[in-house]
Amino acid sequence: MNSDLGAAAVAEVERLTAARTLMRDGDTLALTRLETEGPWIGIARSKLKRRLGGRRLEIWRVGYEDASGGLVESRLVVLAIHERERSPERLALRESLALSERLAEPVAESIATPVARAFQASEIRAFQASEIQAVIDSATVEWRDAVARAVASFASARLARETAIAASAARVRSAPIQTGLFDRREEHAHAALEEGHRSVSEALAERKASAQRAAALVATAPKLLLVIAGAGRT
Amino acid sequence: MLVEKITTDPAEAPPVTRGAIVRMRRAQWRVVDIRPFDGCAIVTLAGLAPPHAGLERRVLTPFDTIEPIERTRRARIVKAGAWTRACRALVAGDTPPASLRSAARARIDLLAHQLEPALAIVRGLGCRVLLADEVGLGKTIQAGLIASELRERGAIDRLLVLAPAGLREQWVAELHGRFAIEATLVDAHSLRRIASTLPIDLNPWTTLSAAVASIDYVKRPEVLPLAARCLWDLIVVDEAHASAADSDRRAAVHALSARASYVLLLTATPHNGDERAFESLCAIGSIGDERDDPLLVFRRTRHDAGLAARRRVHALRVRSSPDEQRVHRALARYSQAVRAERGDACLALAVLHKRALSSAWALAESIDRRLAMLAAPAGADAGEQLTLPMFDVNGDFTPEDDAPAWPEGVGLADADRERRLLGPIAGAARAAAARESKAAALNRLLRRIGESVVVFTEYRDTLQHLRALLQRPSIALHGGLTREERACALNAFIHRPGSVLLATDAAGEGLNLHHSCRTVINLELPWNPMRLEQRIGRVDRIGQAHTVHAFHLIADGAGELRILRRLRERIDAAKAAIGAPDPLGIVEVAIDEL
Repeated sequence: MNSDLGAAAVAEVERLTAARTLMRDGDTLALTRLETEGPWIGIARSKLKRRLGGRRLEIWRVGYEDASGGLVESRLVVLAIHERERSPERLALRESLALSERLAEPVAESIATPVARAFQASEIRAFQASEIQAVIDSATVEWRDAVARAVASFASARLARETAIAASAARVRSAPIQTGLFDRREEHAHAALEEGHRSVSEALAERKASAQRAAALVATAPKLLLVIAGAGRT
Repeated sequence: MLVEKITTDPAEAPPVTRGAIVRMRRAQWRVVDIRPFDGCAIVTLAGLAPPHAGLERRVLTPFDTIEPIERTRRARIVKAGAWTRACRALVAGDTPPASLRSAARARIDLLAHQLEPALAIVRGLGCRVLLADEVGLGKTIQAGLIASELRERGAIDRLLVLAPAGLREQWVAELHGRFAIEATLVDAHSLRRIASTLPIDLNPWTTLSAAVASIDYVKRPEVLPLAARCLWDLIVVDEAHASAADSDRRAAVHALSARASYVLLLTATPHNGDERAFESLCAIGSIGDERDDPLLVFRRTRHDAGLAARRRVHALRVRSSPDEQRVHRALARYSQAVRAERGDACLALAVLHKRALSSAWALAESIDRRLAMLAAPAGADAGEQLTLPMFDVNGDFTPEDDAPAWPEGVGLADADRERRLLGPIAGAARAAAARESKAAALNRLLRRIGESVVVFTEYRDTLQHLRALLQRPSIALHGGLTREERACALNAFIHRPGSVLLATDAAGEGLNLHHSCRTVINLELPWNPMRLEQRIGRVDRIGQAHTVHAFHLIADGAGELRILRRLRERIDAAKAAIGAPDPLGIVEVAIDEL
């Protein structure tokens, strides 16, 4: 195959290797809970708080859903929001990851502080202003184009084959039969064959429709998933 | 395939959608997937709380009641551990467009060449793929990656793997162990068991989301129509070269593949020097012209994959015994007589010469059967009995290593003369069989090697005879073993270092023996170069930690050198066409040197 594919495969190995270093047992369950419950807030104190430097770290997800509501493509956008000015700034994912990897200990120290619990969800929502939306939009322009291209090429190959299969199945006709006066076996066999053709044609049509549906993705609103903020800001 | 929502209760209940939180069997779950099935819906659920936390279950609605739980998203403060776990999972799962979503979770070593076919599929380059990498570069893994990737994207529901009977368990284990795909091994027994739990008019194949079956089982006239009625989304044809030529196999595989959304053809030896067979292979599952329905061909060598070639091939010339030379002379006389009378029987006579080169015992068996046919009273049906799958309902056996029928067109009009010519061959062959020179050479070689070895031969009767002549205990693996016997034999070989596995081509195809062995000995040269590569490929694979040694035992003065030359020509042709590897000897050693 072409060298593009070879280069892409090498890059993919690097990406997957990096992803694997992050994978731990139980993480998926935590993610499932996060997705169903709402944004999770981690409270930073001392070292981490200093490192955040008066900023709040937010991890947003933008995505595309298929017709059944399943998230098929998504992208994380990490924002560092200055608490005072409320002006968001986009962080590289790697930077935020390095930060989050160092979070565990200091957050654990601070989480016990009752004052940290004063950090309320209503305040998080208050920051979902158009400014944040604009930053997320600008951060995902290229990604949206890439998604559109990838989905279109995957779907078009699939649809082309489904269309060709359906056309080929439609050409299949069972030979006409001479019905017997008393012996109906051939007639029954013919009816079973016709029924088989019909059910296969229906299944093929459904598969083609499914491929068409899969190609029609709907962009979802950015979803705030994770927040890390300094303790005692209230 | 995907359904948008299901309504759990017609009386006012809110619909369940993907991602929703539901209660089922008194536990909380998240809906991962909903798919229609025969008027119902298969719902895949992920457990949210112990004891189901992290587990996945598939249930059928409306037979299982699923109640949606209304839950509003609300920010909350969480412990550092939970926050970090969720963050790690988010970042690990962040996948750019046109990249692989399932590969990170697969239990495989990440090798770039193995990702290329899956990337080609997700980038929409085509729906039919011929994976024709050299033996041992991980075609099964590449196929599994494609299957899991397409599943992850919701592009396929039903997967059918068509493999030689002996590789079914291996496929089931690999799909389960590496990709968490639960495939069902389908044979007559399992299909009957499934059918017994279903309504009488329900096709049991439709209940299988992933099935592994032998090609020879599926091609049967009583099996194929039912299998074909079930629309498969992805069909994987392992050892696809076996379905290349005009045959029932090819017809069955094509009939199923031509309706599949995706088709993967797997073979390390796509080209045996016959261009027509190669074209036939490439056309499996094709439904349009090349522009509408392109075949993506991946043919990588060890060099391409960045793996060092560590194979040494030795051609060992074995001096034939006087008895064996007598056999070959007598056979030559008989061949001459047949050619003088029939003229066009060269190809048919080649079968007898192949048997003679395999072992004197194998030839004696064939000649004895012919003599028995000649002795049968005139008018008796001298034809071969049709083979029916009466004793092989599950398709376990592989008949390719059976002794071939007496070739059609070989014989003399004068039966007495034929008996007079065949008699000396049979006598000399029986005498030679008592002390086969290749068996003696093999014994000497095995003494020298002193580690686990796989010895390949083409015929089952040669294998059984050889087993009796070997001075070391050996394990037999041939096409006449049941699934259990076969598993037992392989288990014994893998767990007993220093053992000798005697295998026929038919039974050894596709096996992964590289963790237990690095040496292959070919008792005779197969006439098809693909078979030679297949044999060596059992031990020369990714993960082999040692230099691989392949020994070809070549009978001196018996015409086997001619075969070597012919093989060389065919390998050169295949090399020119598709860059096929060279499994022939580069180092030649006389057996006396051992």
